[in-house]
Amino acid sequence: METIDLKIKVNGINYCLTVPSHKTLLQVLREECGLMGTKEGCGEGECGACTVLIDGKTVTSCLMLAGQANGKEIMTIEGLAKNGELHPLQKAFIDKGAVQCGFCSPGMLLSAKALLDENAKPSELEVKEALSGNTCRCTGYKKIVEAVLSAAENMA
Amino acid sequence: MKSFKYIRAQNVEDACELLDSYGHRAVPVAGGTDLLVKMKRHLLKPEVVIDLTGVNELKYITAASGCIKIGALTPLGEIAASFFLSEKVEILARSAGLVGSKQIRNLATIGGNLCNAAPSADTAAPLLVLEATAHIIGSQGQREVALEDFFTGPGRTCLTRGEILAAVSFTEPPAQAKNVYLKYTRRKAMDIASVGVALSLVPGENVRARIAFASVAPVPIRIAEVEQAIQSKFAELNQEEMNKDAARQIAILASAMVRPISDVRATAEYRKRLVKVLVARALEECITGMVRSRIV
Repeated sequence: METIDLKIKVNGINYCLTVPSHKTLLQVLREECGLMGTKEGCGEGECGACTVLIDGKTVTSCLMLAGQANGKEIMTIEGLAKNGELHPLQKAFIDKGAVQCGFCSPGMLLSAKALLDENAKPSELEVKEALSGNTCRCTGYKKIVEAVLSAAENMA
Repeated sequence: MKSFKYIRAQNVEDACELLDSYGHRAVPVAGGTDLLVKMKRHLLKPEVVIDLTGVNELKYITAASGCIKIGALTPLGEIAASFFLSEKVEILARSAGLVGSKQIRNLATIGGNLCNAAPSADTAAPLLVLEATAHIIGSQGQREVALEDFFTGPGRTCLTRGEILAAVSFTEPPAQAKNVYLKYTRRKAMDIASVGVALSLVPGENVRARIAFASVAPVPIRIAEVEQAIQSKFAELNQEEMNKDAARQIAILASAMVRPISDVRATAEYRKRLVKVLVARALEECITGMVRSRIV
C-alpha cells in the first residue's frame, strides 16, 4: 500500500503523520488526529458536513486528498472555542435553538465563521448564500440563520 | 477509493513529464471536486494521481495589451471574487461564482471546470462567447486551441497524453459590450445547470452577437445561426430598439435548433422550453442595458 508523509497544523497543533495516500483530509482528521467533530455526510462535497477551514477558507475536506493538505493550516470545529470559552457563534447557536441533531452544526459554524471573518455585518440573504453549501435535515435553517445574524450583532 | 501512488508535481514541466511517463495509469488532480467524486464511485481507478495544486505558476489573472489570461489552476472562488474580473468581464466572474458552493469554489479551478468537460460546465458558455483560447502545454511543447475545439464530447477534451490545460485567454470585451449568463437550476444554489445561456452583444455600426449554451448538447456550444439571426434583427431594426417580439422570435429559433437529451435534471422538452425562455430573457437584459447606456 502506498503511503505519504504529512506535515499539517490543525487548530494550532503540528502533526507529523504517515498515512495511506488514498485517504482524504477528512479521514486523516478523524482517524489519525482523532478529531471527530468534522463529519462525513455525503462524501461527495454536496452536504458540507465535512467543512473545515484551510488558511481561513472553507473547503469540503471529503474531497481533498491527504497529500493536498500537506503544509497547510487547518481549523476544525474543535478549534473554534478558545480556552474552554465558546465562540459567539456557538453561543448564538445554542441560544437560538439552531442545533437539533447537531450533525450539520460543525460545518455550519465554520461556514458562518468564514462569512463573519470576511463580512462582519451580513444581510440575511448573504448569510443564506454563505451557508448554501451546508445542508441541514432537522431545523429548516431559520434558527441557524437567526443565530448567525445574532452572533454578528454581538461580535460587532 | 482504491489505493494509488500520490505524486506532487513541482512545476509545469514536472507535471507534463509525469503525465507523459505514466500515461493512462495516471490522472492529474487540481481541486479534485469532480475527480474525487468519480474516484469514490469507482468510475476512475488510477494507479497514480498527480497533484497539480503546487504548480503555482499556473495560478494567475493577468491583463496585457487588451488580452486577459487566467491560469488554469486559479480557483473559481478567486475568479468570482476578483474585483478586476467583476469590472471587466462580469459574465465570467459571475459564472464562476455559480459553480457548486463556497467550499467547492475554494478548491475547484477554472482549468478543472473546463477539463472535466461536462456539457453543463458553468465557465464554458461564457468563455465561448468571449471567444476564448485554450493554452495547452505538453511534453512535446505548447499549443493553442480555440475553446470551441477544446471539448470533444461529454467529459472529453482534445488534450493528449502528457498535456495539461495551462490557461485560457480572451480579448477584453469593449466597455459597451453587454454580456449575460443565465443559469437555470431547480434549486437556488448547489445545483448543476439544467440549461445555461451565455450571450454577448457588442453594439456598434453592426451589432456583434455571440451566444453559447450549456446542457443542451454533448458539449458546451455556440450556435452560429442564432448569432446571425440576432445580428440580422439588429440590422433590420437599427433605427428603433429591438422589441420583445424580436427577442421572442430569436428565442423560438434557438429552441428549435437545440437537441437536448432528457436526464435526471430535466426532459428534452423542458430544456427546449428553457432555451426559449432564457434566450428571450438574455436578449431583453442585454438590450435593456444597451438602451440604458444609450448605445442602441
